[in-house]
Amino acid sequence: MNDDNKTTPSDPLLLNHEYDGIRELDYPLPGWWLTTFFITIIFGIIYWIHYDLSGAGPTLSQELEKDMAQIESLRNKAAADAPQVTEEALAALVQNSDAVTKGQAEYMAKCAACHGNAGEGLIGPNLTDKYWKNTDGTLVGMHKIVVHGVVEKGMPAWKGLIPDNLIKNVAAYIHSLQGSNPPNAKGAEGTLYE
Amino acid sequence: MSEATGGPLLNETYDDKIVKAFTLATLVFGLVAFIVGLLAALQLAYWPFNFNLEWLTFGRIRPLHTNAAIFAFAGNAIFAGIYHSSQRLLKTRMFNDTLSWAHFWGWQAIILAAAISLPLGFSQSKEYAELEWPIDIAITVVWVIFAVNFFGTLIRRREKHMYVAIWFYIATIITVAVLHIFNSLEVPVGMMQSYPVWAGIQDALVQWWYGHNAVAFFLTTPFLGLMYYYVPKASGRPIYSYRLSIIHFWALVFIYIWAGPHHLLNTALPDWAQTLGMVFSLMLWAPSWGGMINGLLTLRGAWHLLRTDPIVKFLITAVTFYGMSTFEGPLLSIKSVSSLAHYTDWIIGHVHGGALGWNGFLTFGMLYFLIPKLWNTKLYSMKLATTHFWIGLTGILLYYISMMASGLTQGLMWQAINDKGQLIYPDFVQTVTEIVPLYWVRAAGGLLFIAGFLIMLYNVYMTIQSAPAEEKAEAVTAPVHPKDGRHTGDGGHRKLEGMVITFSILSFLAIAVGSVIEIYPTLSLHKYIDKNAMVEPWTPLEQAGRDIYVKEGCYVCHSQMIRKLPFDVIRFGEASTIEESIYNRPFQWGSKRTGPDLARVGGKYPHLWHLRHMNNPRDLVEASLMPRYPWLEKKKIDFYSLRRKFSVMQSLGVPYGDETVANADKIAEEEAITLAAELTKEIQAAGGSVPENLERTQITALIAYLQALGQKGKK
Repeated sequence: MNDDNKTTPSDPLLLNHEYDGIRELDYPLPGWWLTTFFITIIFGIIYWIHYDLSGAGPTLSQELEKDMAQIESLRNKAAADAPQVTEEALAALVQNSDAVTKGQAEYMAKCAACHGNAGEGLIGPNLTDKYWKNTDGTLVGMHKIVVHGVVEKGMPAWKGLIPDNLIKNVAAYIHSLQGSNPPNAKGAEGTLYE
Repeated sequence: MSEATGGPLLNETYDDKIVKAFTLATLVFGLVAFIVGLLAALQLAYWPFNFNLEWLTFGRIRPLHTNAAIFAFAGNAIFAGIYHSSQRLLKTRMFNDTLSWAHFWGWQAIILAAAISLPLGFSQSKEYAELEWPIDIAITVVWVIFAVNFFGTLIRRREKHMYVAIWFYIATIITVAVLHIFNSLEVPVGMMQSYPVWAGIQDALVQWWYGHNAVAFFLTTPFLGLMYYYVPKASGRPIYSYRLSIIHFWALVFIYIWAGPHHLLNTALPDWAQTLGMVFSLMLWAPSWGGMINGLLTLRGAWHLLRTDPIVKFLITAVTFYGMSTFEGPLLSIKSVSSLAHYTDWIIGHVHGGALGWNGFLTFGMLYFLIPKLWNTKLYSMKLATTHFWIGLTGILLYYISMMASGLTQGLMWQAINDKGQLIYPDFVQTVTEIVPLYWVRAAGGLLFIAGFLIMLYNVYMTIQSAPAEEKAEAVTAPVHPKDGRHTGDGGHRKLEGMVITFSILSFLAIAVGSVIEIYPTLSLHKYIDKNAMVEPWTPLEQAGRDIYVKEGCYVCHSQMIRKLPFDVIRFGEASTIEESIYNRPFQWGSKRTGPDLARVGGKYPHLWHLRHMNNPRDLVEASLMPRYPWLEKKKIDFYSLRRKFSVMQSLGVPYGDETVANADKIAEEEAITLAAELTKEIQAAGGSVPENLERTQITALIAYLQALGQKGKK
């Protein structure tokens, strides 16, 4: 069965082994290979000592805490730098057709699934009437509810999910729906704010 | 070397009928595995490829694909190669023909059972261990039959020493048995349903000890054994280094078993276990490359074969892919690299580099070598085999590159945080639509791989057609008793190669050390649990919903493990804790996020959102890839089995009161009525029509479970 097995019998490293015609040479372990092996073992030991035995390295939880603190400080700084959201500023956006169009696009992507394509209400309440459950009908109130949500009722907090500027546009767009009387509108929920 | 002093000479024929049977089974199930894989790939590019049939949803098809590829295709290939090479390396017929055929038919029956039960949704939802308990038992029985047959052959061998290929076969048989048995310890709660005895973090650790070593001892060690036989046979060259084979064999079997926790990096698993998984994975690099070096350098002096011989092309390319995968593996096991790559398609690419390149191509090379020999003829067309090689290779490269690009893209998008401390891509679905074009490229790669395989099937068919009608069994003449390895003056490892039992025990010990050190400490879980952070176990209706989640294979796309990484925490909420999954049988931490993590999805949306989303995800998330599950509004909840399930859970240590266990079904029914009433109110307010019997349909149980996710720890 070794008809197809041509070896070089002169090779001094050829061993006296033969299995079904298969012969074995006995080259030494390649130096670079052995070095790699030893380096990974030494690295493994040092890593193990540093992170687990000695307690010198941070645990995953500590690293997470550090990263989150950094992100928190970025957020605080951003919040401090952000201009105050005022009724006037938002009202100006309602008149700005570019802002309303942008707000509409974001509304269709994020809000329409629950509030309907025309704001008529579906899973969430109708946004076109003057009845409000968790806000008071002002633009600032609408902005706040988009930012913070009503988490226990299933309205997500969109801060972080929708960029800050777009949230204002969304609030402006929703305000522009007032009195649009879309078909299939959901009945009134909450309190009437004139 | 045949021995002159080994008793009378005996002439014996090899059993090649069994090899032929396993060979044909490899080809048949290869086709099945590849086509199901292509279907799954297409579904990710364009979800309606599930034809809106529950049996073809991705959650059920993906386990079918992985099981078929690993156990049906690679499994049959291993058996073909082992039965063929072992007889020749040991100069004897297999121990017992009846056992050989029991092994063959038993294994095919298991495959058939898997092919039926997985699409029907009978699944434990533990990766590569999805098959339910009756099939698990069958696997154990068939594996023992194989082991008895193999070790029987070893005992009656007529070759004094065992060649390196045999060492790898021994390690395979022992380790797969250990892995399968320990990961399948489960308590039946129905004819085709069971709960693992392990829960939460223990289940995670045992599962990935199994899962990783299924790769190691089902897709690596047996294939290395095949490589050690078929590469020198096909090239006619001696193995490059005997001593390298010794060192890398023992290093590999000793180190591999530790590496499992690299599938759980940055999770709630205790840091020390993660560190062990990572550093042992790094240490695996060199031992793995030892095998690659021995495979590649065996071709020294015969490199021209790489140009002229398609068989050598397949084999050597396979070894090259092995080298690439075993470099990439340690790289991916570094915690920081894992934080980028884990849950993404990079892992899918990595796995397929191994599966298609290493296992696939090695199998093809072996079969092209083997089939003409078995049928006593010549290969119909070398040219077609070369064509197969190039088409297949193009397919693999397209697959690998597209998945690597997809993984990197999505991983980087998940991580991106702007200078305001906000995610740049907060919409999960946005990170999915970005990679859909790459899913088409991947499907094209898979299609090419299959096209190459079809050429092979044609080539094999024509080859077998040309076989002479009369079969000619190959025979061997050798002394009955080879010299006992202990009395030949051999020293060191050479001596060990003549001692089957000692060698097998040492192999067992090599894998037992890492297994015990890693798994044993987590069995005393109390050390890792914060008593103040304990959670409530699932209510009966929630558990019924969880069983549906498990049955549908949601874990293939949704993780339930928010890692200790800032971008995971910002996106999904506080990092998951050990306590939160402590009662989860099976754990559902997942390994891939095609959809968002669900560990804290509870309470995030109203019930109605989930109802509509399960009916058609695109009503709520326009670009979603998720299948529709409208049948959940029709199928009934299995209240009746809940008492049995809860009694099993209680016996496994879940703190349910006797009252709860005795009334589990009634409690669930009441819960369902309450939830259905809430849901009905929401539907009516929205002006929709209420599905019939809402309080009895599966969607209600599933919503109960989803709404409870992440809510159990809250006081």
